[in-house]
Amino acid sequence: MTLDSLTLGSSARVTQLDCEPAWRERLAGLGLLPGCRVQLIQRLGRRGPLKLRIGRTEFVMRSAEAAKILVEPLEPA
Amino acid sequence: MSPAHCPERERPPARPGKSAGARIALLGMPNTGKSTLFARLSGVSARTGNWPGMTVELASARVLLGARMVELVDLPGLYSLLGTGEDERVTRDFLEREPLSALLVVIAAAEIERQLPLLLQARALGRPMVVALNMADEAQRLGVRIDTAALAEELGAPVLLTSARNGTGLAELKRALANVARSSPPQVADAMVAAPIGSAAFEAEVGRLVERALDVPHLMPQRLTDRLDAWLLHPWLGLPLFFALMWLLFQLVYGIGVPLQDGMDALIGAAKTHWIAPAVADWPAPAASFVLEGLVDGVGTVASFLPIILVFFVLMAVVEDSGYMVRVAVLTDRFMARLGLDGRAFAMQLMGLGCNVPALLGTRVMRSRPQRLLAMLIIPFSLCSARLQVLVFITAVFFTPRVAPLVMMALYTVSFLVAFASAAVWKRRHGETEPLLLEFPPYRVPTLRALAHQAWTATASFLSGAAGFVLAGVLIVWLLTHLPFDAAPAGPDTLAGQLARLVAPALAPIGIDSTLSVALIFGVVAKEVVLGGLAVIFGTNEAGLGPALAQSLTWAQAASFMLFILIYTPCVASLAAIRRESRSLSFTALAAVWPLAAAWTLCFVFYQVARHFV
Repeated sequence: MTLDSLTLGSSARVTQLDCEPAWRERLAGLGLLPGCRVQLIQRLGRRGPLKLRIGRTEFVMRSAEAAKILVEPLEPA
Repeated sequence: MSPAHCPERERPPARPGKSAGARIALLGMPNTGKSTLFARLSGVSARTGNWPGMTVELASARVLLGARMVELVDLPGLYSLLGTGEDERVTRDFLEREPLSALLVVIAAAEIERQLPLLLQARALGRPMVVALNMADEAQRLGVRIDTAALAEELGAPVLLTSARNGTGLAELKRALANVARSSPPQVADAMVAAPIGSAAFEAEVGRLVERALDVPHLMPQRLTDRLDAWLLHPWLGLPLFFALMWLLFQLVYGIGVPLQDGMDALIGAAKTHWIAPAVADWPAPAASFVLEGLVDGVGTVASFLPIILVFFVLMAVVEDSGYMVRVAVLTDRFMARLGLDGRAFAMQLMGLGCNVPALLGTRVMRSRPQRLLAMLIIPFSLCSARLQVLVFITAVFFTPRVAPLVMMALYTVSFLVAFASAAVWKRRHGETEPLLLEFPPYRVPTLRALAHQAWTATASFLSGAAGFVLAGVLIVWLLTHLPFDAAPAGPDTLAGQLARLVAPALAPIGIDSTLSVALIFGVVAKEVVLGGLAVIFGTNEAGLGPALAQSLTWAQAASFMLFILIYTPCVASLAAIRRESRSLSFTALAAVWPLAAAWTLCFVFYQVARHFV
């Protein structure tokens, strides 16, 4: 599934990043790399931007970009 | 945040390898408190902002560390040395080419896990390092414990816990820096930046370091930030709350600022009557007039607004430091995307409410050039504090105290609407969307110390920057309105009168008469000059200027004048910033002419309609 379709509050592991190098580098700067664990904290409106958390880092990206990130949902801990 | 007006900061040129002095560069990600740390270490006022990448110019300072002078250089905050942005390129070039004694890597202690890769990337350059785990107080609050001794052993570099905001750990840091400056002479890098930040090697290394030195609570406590964001970023309530907060901010500005302004006014007035006027009573008439009407009235009128501007700057700084600006960028993103921009452009516009220049420099965080140009085109429409004082003054003259706030509100609205309309007009040429990725720092409550620092920075930079422009502009206006000396001051036979006749065909249709046009022309130098210039033209001080204006202008003329000031050509400092940042003369010309054309057109339509109603 894709990152934008996560349910609120749930976590997932990133499996694949389908994006250009510059964007990938920016994501990596925030720690968003294949294998990392990411949590959906808040959805700002339907199809609106997503507030995400990796470790203690929180950030926002648009749903359109999140739709290009493949994830594997994790069971709630 | 930014100063009351727009001085250009000195950017010391990166010197070639010959300079033998010890030099240490600060490297770190955005929001690590790096600039604050730099300011603390150097004792100079470097500006800090919560906006990612706010430190856009290479600030440097010479500091006595131990027994020797060391040059500290503050590099732009960035996530990776291999990025494609301007900041990354500048930093990479600097790190690869410049001789350095050492790197001071600044890491937000609470974020150490994801900031270590940048350190590892920099370490591959083969230079000595000192590591500051900054914002240690926040890490402690979050329950992040770091074994600095173990980390130092692993990295082969001193590791210190610091809090630049509270000043803790700075003495130890200075000692460590003095040691490294003494023991390692400046050298160029051994290697080029090669490994991308997300490489498997770094990941493994970070994992190992974290395993060894870090004790991180596994589950995050539900922080207040998340609860605040649930409200402040709410799909429906977010924007109304934003408007409410801005309204509150302006209420505070006036609540605190206006009494201060009245005090300042009384002070200047008293000084003039009791002290300066008697002192120059025996002087020749032109000299006395120069001092009383040029210096005291002109500059005094501008100075009387200083308190309100300072209050405004301090409060804007609170908003900026709180981390709320990033939230505003997200709230407005969808709307701004339709204009070929993104939410960051709106946040820059807000920053521009203080002074447009730092906001223009702030556009460097935008990677796409077309988008950056578009943002730079609309930022000057932001009603900066310099224009604010003119508009507040004229509003107070022509409207009752009950209506005045609504008029100001309308002016702010118009300024944003003109900016949005301009973006819509030019987006085909300059707009381009890039993916949005905004890091959310936790909310911060500014300390009293930081507030005092902001107030001081704003005052100092107003006095060193804008004050010169204002003084020069006001004095030129005085000369123009008094030369030749045998003509009636500000009359048709003076130089000013001739100049006004020259521009009258263009300005008469929008209701701006000859007395006002001279002030407008010099308002391009700095918008503060408009008010000082008017005081000189009418030969009165702040208290007398209101009645004088009320007598010579109709309501429609005054409103048209305000609209024109709101929109017309950006000040010299803004245009210089645009020229420097865009490196394009034709774009700078557009940025100068487009607002002028827009201002004239709007005022023409407004005045031609409005004059039939009064």
